[in-house]
Amino acid sequence: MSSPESNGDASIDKDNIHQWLMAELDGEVSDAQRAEIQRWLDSDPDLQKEYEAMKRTREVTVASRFKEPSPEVWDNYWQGVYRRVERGIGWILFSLGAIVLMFYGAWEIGRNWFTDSSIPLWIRLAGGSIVAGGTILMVSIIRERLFLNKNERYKDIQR
Amino acid sequence: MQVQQELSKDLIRRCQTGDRSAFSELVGQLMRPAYFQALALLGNEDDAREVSQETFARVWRSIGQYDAAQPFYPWFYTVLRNLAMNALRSRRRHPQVGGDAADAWLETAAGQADREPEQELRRQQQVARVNAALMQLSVSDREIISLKDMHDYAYKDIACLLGIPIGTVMSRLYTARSRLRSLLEEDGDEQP
Repeated sequence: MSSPESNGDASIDKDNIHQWLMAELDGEVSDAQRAEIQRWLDSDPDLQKEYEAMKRTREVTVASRFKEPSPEVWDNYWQGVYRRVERGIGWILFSLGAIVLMFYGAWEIGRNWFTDSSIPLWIRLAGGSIVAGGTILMVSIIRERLFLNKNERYKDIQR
Repeated sequence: MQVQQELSKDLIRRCQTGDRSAFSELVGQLMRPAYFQALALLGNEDDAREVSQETFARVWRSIGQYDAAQPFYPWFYTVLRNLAMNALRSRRRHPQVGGDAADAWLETAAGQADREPEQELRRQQQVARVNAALMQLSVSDREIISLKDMHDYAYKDIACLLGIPIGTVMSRLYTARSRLRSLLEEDGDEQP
């Protein structure tokens, strides 16, 4: 099905007549399709009733328009966008630096921890175990959150 | 703003090369449709402004990924729509104190100033009821009604924006309008 210019020969039947009523209301049908829809309406009083009700509903929505915001919204719009672009760049640079320093710090702490012979070996191993366990737990939780976010079928359902 | 109507290819190409003045021009051309489309999805002026501005910021950062062989606006709208959906999810997870964050975001169409005051008042009440009923619809129902009836896009443009066949546009419009009609009838607004 399509608009007249691309699909003038699409058939109108019992299964799709309701959709075609929308196309008729919105002026998206050819003359031949309009005549066909009219035949359906003439032969089915319930359909005619529904068509009239839909027409009234559409008249109400078409007669509404978006509320114009105050002029300051448009005057300051570009500044708002620019601030976001600027902050985005700031955050990217900040995050990059923080990640590099964090890894460097972790590497240095780990190296000192494992090479410090004044700490008993079993304590060093226990410390390493805590760090390894914590890392595995963190990765697992992050992966679960990402997976749930992607595959949660009911996330858009309002409770 | 027609979906298929090409924004200047040169403008987009200049944006892709990092030209800020071109980007400023792009914002100037698209800020109104972006804001109003976000408003229809979110029903709140502050959220609409934030989401539409964030859309431009994201588009600026990722415009290198845009395939210039495709129309620009559907790509832009996809970014806007995703951000609006995220904002809606976030709003549901963290509801504001005081409840409903929706504004009255519709008004009576212009050009009918010669109506009687009583008639105008009735019209305003009706628009307020439509506003409330639209906010009770699902976001996808509200979206398709606003794209057709308020933005006045042709079916082929809506299909292009949403990435769905025209037949699906027609069936989704039927479903959405049926639900809206039921809500308005429940509210006692049978006769516009």
